Amino acid sequence: MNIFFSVLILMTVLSGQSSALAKELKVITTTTTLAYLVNEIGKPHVDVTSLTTYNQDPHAVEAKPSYMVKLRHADLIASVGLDLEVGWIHLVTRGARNPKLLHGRNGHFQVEDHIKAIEVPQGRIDRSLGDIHPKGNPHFHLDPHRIEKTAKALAQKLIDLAPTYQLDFKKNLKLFLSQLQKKKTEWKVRVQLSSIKKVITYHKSLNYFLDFFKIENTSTIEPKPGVPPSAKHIISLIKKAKTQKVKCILTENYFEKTAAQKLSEKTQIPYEVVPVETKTTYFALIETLVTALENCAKQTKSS
Amino acid sequence: MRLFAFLILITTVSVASAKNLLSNPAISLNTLLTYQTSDQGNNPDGENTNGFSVQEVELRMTANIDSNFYGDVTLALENEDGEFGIEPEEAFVETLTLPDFKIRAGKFYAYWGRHNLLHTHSFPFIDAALTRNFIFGEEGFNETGLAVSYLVPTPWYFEIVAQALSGDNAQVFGSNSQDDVAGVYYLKNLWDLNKASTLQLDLGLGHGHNINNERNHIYNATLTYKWRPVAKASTTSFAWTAEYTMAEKLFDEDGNALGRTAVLSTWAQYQFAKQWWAQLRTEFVDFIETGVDQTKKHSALIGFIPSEFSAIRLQYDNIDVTGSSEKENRFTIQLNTSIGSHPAHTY
Repeated sequence: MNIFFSVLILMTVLSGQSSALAKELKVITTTTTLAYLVNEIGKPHVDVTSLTTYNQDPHAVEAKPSYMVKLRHADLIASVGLDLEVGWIHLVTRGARNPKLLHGRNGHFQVEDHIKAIEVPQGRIDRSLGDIHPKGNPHFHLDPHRIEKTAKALAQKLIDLAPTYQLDFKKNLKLFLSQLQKKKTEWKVRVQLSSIKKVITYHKSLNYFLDFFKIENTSTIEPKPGVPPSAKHIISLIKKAKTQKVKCILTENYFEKTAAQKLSEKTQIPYEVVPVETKTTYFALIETLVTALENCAKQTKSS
Repeated sequence: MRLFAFLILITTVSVASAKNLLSNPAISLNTLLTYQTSDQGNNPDGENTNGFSVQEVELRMTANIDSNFYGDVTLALENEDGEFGIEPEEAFVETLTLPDFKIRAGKFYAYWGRHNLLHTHSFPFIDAALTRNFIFGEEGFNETGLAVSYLVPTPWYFEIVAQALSGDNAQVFGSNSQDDVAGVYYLKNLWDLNKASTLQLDLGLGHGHNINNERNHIYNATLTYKWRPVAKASTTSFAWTAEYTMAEKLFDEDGNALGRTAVLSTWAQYQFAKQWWAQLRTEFVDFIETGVDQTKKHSALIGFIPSEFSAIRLQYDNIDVTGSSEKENRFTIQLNTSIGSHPAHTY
């Protein structure tokens, strides 16, 4: 027992040395798109790190202890919610021992609280439907409207945490929103010109983007969320895609590509591998997706 | 009767959760069914006997109790000598709001190596590693007490855990004294080698009194390497663990002294497709003091894991037990299912 108490005392002594004051607001996000937004609005007063990278499947993230280390001195954790991070985020925030970041505290931000999700399942839900998100589709960020709302909510959160810099945050937000406004119009015209109305994707990761541009996602390559496609499912997709006049197959870069390739070969419908998360800027991300649609349109015309 | 009460409990809980998802605890129910066959016939002393059996049914409920505490309860319905009994496998409360520190109180698996912290349904193989079962018995190192853990402010993950536990594990801390408390210390280090891989080193030291009221010490060192490439995170991964536990004075289940005994278990897990795993394990029990031959066990497993909620696994074991002339060859198939809330697995 004596050793037990000695170790406790040693731990307390060590913990006294850890309170180094950071000048900036330290923000951790679960995705690179959220990190980009926080940085755009908060610069130069924020130090932002995303726990996942741009090409990482958000469904296969593990609760790495190193995430806890990143969170322990953070002022804010910004996550998507809608059960996207359900398999790991609670372990990480609890393990960080940073009470500020707990649900309901000031250092906790969830996009879920600020936007309306699409595809909220109705009626009876159970796991026979696959890896379904009961609160709706969590891949909200590819919709520029919802990104506007998220940016506004994040700006408010940063103002709450560091009111001293509120003028900078407001100025940054205004600039971002006006840039986005301009781009939105341009993208809409380009997508309309491509005349693509129907696509197939691997997972429902792109549905917010497709909704925004009024494109229909006729079916997914995976038969149910999280379930890899069977040969039978691919055969049924080949038939459906032809009769429904699908013009483009989009497959998210972190899913396996062979099924999409096969589908494209059999149907002559062009396919494009696309990113889902921000690598450099949000504008570049949406730009890549719009270009992918244009590429599909070009290939359809030339064949 | 106990089974009936258990079923009533499950039914009440699930009805309640359908009404209001938010205010109720996260509930999950794991069921493990096995079929085993061995060329040495039935092993009545084994945890699982030949033929079909329910390895375990486990009900887990977790929730934030209030703004200060988090609660975690796991009830296990286990087959013991032909009869099912309910046991609180874990029932503990943890602090939520202490900066840097976490205090856990209740009955829990002691922080000790890697394998000891796992529940049966998340064992890497169908049966437990010998580092857990040979040293601590079938229930593992599971005690009632207090654990204070501190996250040291280092650039890597470095956690110190000091535990005061009721020292009543029959095989290592079986002292008859009612107020005997075992001190168990645990260090966990984890380094991110790059975006894809991590290296973890766990070190443990425990002391208490054994069945003869003599001072007894236990030691552990565990090394784990994990790799999961970022761009193929859901289809490819690899993990390797080597766990070593040594007890100064070990006793078997019947109270016979085995003397200083060390166990090394090492296993590798390779995920080669989204739903497929191939695994190998090798284990040695070394009776250092008596000098009798080692017990050796080699296992191979292939797992089909359609989703996070179900798994079908086939395991082969080759067991060379000290003192027996023949090696045992054993096959086990396990159906591992989980209903209820989404599991959050510790890394």
